[in-house]
Amino acid sequence: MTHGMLSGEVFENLRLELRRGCLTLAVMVELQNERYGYVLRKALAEQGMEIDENTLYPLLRRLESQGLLISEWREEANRKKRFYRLSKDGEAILERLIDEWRSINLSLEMVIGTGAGLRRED
Amino acid sequence: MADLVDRYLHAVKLVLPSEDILAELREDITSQIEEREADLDRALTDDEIAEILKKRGHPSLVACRYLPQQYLIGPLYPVYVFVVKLVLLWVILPGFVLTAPIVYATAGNSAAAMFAVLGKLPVTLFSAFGVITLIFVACEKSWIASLQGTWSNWDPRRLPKVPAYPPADRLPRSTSIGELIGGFFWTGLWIYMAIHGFSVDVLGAHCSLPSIWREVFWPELVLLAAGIVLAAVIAFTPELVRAYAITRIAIDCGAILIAAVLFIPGAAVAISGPLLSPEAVAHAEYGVALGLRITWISLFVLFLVDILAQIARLRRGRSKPAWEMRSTSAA
Repeated sequence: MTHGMLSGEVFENLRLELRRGCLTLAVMVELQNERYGYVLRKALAEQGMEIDENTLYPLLRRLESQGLLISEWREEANRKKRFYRLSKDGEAILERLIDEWRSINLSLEMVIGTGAGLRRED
Repeated sequence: MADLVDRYLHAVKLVLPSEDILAELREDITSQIEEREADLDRALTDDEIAEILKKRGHPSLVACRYLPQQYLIGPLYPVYVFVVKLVLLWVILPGFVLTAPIVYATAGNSAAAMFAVLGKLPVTLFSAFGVITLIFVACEKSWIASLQGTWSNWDPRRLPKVPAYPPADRLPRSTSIGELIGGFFWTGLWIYMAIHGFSVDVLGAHCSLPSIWREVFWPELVLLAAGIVLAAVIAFTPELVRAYAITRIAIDCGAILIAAVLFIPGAAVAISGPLLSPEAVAHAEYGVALGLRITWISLFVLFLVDILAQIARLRRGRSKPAWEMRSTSAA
């Protein structure tokens, strides 16, 4: 395996790891309004948060089993669709997660800023 | 369009038999296809649908994403759980049904001896659990390695066709493999017991099961063999739900009959040993007899529950499952 291939694979793994937690947050934010899977996936993609169906649906199941989402099968346009929305517990958790995200983001910006400054001094 | 999607969902269902998930997957695939058709202003060709399905991933991989996270064992997890339960049951059952009463009756300090037997149980259970886990991890790693190529170079058009009949819940292959392993295990044990004349030596005490056990040897062997043949047939033809359920009910009825034959005359278990006092023998025989009676009642309940489950399966087979309900636009 060449160095380029290895670093590409390492980067991809790290990128996926970095995105994993963000996707949960993004899904929860989007589900403050009721949506079904396909529309949710499109809404996320339109905002730059691409998520493939094999990640989204298992994630929705997990969040539902944790009591953070409520789902319901309903008919729309002659087809049965499963609609998801945030539960009361989900809303409370989301509020805390957003605070946490902002705090992490702020700290990271500071860390990245300091790192960038040090690199410039070098 | 529906044919390729049906075949895809059918392949997912072989690993993940959840109507709810399949219905949701169908909805997502249909939405994606319809959107693409609206963009192109024409119906998609089979090749284009195959491309969409291929992008979603191999059905086994898609199904595995929904399974609970098992870091050591993935697709083989249902079979693994079945084998663990079976082997642990075999460690616990003889441990308590046969060994514990004899130890209690023969040892001078009964309480201490019982604690000694109980103390060994966690180590035995843990060892059995560890060995099974290691075997399954090794099997799965080699199996997954052999499937890597299949998962990346697969063609949705080569997926098996969905059978024309409407069985509601085809049998997952893990169930038949589990039943096959269980069938061989119990058959081996049954033959082993017969070879040893349905008697066992435990800690210097000789325990002989009543002669009725020898008389039911052949009927029980026929039932076990029928179970193995059934599991083997179902492993290759999981769509034979009705035949499976009817045969299973027949086997369960036979098993209940044999359990009743062994239960009704009472368990006249004979225990002997040079160091045993008459009281100790009576004590041990009573304990083993009680243990066997509890076992028969438990088995009776288990077989009865299985018969009810098979009847429910037969009834479900009359209705079409949710994931096969095609929308008007998709059909």
